[in-house]
Amino acid sequence: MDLEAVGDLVLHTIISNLTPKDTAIAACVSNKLKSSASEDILWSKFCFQELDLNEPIDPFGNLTPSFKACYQAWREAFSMYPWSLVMRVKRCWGRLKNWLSINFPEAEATLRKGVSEVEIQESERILKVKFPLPTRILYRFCDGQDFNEKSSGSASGSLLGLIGGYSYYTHLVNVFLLPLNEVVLNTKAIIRHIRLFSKNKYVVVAASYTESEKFFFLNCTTGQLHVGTVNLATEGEMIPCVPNALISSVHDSNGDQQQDAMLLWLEEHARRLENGMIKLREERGTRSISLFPEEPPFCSTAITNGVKVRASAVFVPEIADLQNETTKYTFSYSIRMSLQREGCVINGIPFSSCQLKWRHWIIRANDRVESDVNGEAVIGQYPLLLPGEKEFVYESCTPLPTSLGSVEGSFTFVPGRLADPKGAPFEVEVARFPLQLPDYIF
Amino acid sequence: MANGENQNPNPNPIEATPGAAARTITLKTADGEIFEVEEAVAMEFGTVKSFFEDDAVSATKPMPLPNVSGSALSRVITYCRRSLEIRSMIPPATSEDATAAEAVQGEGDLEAEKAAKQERKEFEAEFLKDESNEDVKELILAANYLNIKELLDFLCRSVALRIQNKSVEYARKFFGIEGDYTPEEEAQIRQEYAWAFEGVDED
Repeated sequence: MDLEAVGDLVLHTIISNLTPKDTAIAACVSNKLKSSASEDILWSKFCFQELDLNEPIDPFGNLTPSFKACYQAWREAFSMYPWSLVMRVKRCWGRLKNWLSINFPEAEATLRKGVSEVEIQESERILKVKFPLPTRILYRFCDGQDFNEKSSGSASGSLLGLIGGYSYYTHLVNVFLLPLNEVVLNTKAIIRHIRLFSKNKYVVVAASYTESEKFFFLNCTTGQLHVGTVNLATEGEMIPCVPNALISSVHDSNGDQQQDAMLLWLEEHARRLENGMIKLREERGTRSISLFPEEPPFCSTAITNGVKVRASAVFVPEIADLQNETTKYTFSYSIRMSLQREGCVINGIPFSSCQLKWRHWIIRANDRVESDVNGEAVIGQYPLLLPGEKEFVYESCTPLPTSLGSVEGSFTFVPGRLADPKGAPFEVEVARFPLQLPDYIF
Repeated sequence: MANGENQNPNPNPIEATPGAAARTITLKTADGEIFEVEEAVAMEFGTVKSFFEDDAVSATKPMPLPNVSGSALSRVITYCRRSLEIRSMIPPATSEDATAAEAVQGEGDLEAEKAAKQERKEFEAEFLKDESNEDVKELILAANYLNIKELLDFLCRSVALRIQNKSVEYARKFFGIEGDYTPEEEAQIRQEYAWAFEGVDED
């Protein structure tokens, strides 16, 4: 039966319902179908739906003369990969770059443009590995971050890590994604020191450029990401960063189920940034991504007499010691306290300030009390809270023998100041917050 | 005649509801089958609608449809009838009452719309399940001639699904179109769209 009898409008309607691939096939059928299939409005729809493009920009950042030419350029540039995976990786980087451009443009400026297939193959040749498919595509879109050695002295250059970090006492980490050339250099350097590695095809993909060391390794065979513990140098001890069950088909070009730990890890990170679970922290004029959770259930909030205390903890894998029973896991916690605008109100009587005198902590491993301590001050300070001011934030840490636990407690505050109290001391609650080995480790 | 008179065995017998004032319109297909169709359904056919709106054409004489076969018309009628039913699931958006009543009605409307959408989805999934490509093409020709936009849109979408991931040769056979490229043009355009030729189904 000859469908040509229905006329151009019907053929046109059929073509406008086709996928990009089928539209291309239709164009190869005959001259008549080719003209319907070549309409740029169809290809602008595909560019928008699949590549999130409003303008015909090719993979190298150049404007192309039509959306059709643009779409073709993208398909050709990535013809060696399953297209659905390419779209997924593009979306992941899109989310991260979008969040950075709005919230942390100085970090977005460090992102390097993607590498070529040739550069990937060269790195693989030098390291004698085959990167998992999703990771290769990740590097095609973005080659990690530039790290400015010069400004690292001022610490501001070293806090632009995309993955972010935390600091407590003298321990400071801020994790960057490494460009391929750094991946090669760091991997070769580490292999020299840790014999185990060369057999198992690990490459260093992320690290902190601070005194405290933190390294992330991608296992190119399994596709899992691992973070080094305190025993990294001596034992090669590492902890997996992504739920194992989610990793699949990392070297299989067929089908569309490929996902490796790098992709899953970055997607999870994008999610947490987008939903405000983690936020930027500003300290002494410098901003960085802080990994302390900001939202329940991991961050607790309590308000007593106008004093608000928020508290959450983060797992510190680089200090973990899986061989040690009592200090197997270490958690750092961040306590933020502030005084509401109305001031400190005790039994209806308002006070214009209050100052911390004591702390009382109860730390549990599972449900068993590990420690119950009282002490003066917090990290040696007696914060004075004034109404409506920025939060006073401090960090500390605690070891834990189990992967699950909690912290809760209270602060004793004095209305007025310690030097000039205006009333009797009162207790301010720190609501319980969890200590938990997370499913995604950053 | 109250009941549909058939010269050929009609797999879709239509009974005029006794006592109801449902007007029917008589249609005669290319192969001589007579169909009595409820007016509401027949008016879904743009061609029929304009035919009866034009002059004072007698509604009792069968309207000839020389380009449509009995089997195709039967399927078309089934589709339009079901489509009307589904559309009637959504109450009309009339604004007669006070705002409170409207708000309640609004929520109910949303639920009804959702239910209608689901019904349509299931119905459309089933409707062409056992139809061959030739049957679908025949339906397209019928829907096009009868000027039934909704059915035509649905059929076009279904065709798009049927040729998904198929080869150029398959598409040519399906559309009954001869390739009119020279060998050089053919090679060139296949080169231009080389990315589309991975993982195409075997014919």
